[in-house]
Amino acid sequence: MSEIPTNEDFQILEEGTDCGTRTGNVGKDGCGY
Amino acid sequence: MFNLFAGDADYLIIRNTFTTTTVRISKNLKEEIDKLLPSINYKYLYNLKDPTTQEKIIRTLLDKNILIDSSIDEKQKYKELFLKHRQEDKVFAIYVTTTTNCQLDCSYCFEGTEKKNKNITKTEADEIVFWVSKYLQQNICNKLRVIFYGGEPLLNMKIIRYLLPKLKKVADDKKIFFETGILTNGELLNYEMGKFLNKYNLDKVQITLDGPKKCHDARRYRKKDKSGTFEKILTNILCILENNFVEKINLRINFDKQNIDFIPELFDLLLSNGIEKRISLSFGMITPTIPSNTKNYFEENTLGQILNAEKYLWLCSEAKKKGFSIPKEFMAGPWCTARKIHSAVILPKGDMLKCISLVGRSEFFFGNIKDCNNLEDKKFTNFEYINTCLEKNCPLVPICGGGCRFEAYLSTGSFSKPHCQKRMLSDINKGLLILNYK
Repeated sequence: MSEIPTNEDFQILEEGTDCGTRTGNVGKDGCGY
Repeated sequence: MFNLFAGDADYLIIRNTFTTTTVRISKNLKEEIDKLLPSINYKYLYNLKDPTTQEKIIRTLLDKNILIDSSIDEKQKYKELFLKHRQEDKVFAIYVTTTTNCQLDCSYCFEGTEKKNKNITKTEADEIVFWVSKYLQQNICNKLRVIFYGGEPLLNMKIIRYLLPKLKKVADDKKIFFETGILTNGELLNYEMGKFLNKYNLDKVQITLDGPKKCHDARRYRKKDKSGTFEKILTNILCILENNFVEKINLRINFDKQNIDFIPELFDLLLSNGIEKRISLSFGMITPTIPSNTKNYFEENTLGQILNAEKYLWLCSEAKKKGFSIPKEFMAGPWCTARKIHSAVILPKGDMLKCISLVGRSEFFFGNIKDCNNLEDKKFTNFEYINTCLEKNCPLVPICGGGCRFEAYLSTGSFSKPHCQKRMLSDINKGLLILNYK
């Protein structure tokens, strides 16, 4: 993992996951799942 | 390939739909990076002793998969992970349709009209417990998740009271986690029922209010006398939250031409009751269903993809202004019950479906608990449609997965074809980036 630069030109807003795909109960929004 | 871009004249917000990593980058910096990229040697980049700011940022973007080394096949990686996660998902999720009956007569109800008054009996509940136990002996799962569904599940609450302790015991005996949830219109979810469900690790409560009283009562009224249900449901919501029977209530708000403009009045009401932090909003678009007696309703009131996106974002914007949390992304069904291995909707008589939208339509039954231990319904196991979407280099595949299978059936006549709502999904997800991060 490289050093993460942050300045006014660049900012990480949300750290993602390495798994690459959603898990758990992730169905269509609003379908009730 | 999986990047979504939103922004203004000076900045871009980039979200990778695969990893969910989201960054904000100035357009000037992006231009500088774009110029550098063709000459970058990726291996050399990581060995630099004194990298420039741009080079450091390129390394970060590579680490976060927003930039991808050209030697990596992103599509193949996605497909492999999709199938791997499907295999490794060890949650056994059952949707127990305690009854197909409902006390309401909602104008847009999507459920089929067959056997509207069928209830799960005590004998059938015992058969469900036996079947669940047997399934867990034959399949390695780490959690049993029981969601009550209907019709209106609480019209048969004696079966919920009978079934839950027995299913919890099955999970305890197997030493696996247990949780429960309920999708209800909320009219019968009183203190006693809330207290009972709370004993069984109540994880999700979804209740529907279609706007303030005047809107809700015009759409979701009682069958027997057309009287409204709003006040009773709101009282129950407040009771459930006040007694901490669940941390948050998932409030479903269905919208279409009829009620869209009035929904912010409901936000004000929830705010005045001080529960805005304990509500997860879920806006449901009223879209066509299998042709039935409600067909005219959809034709007259559905907004269509472009307006649905616009109105969805407007609702999110209004909700955010009033202090509600809003979603970070809008999904279209990568991991619904229809695509999981260990999941089924169980109906009275033990019949099984793979998708909750198919309740009330016996032609889609794929088995019965009396003789079925394989929950793979072949209608839903051909994932070739995802390849079709990947071939089009669609950045939305990780949040769409080829689209809702029920809607695919409606639009193509097949559960195995893509259902593309790219315009709407793209508009909504870009809009959510701006609303959440600008």
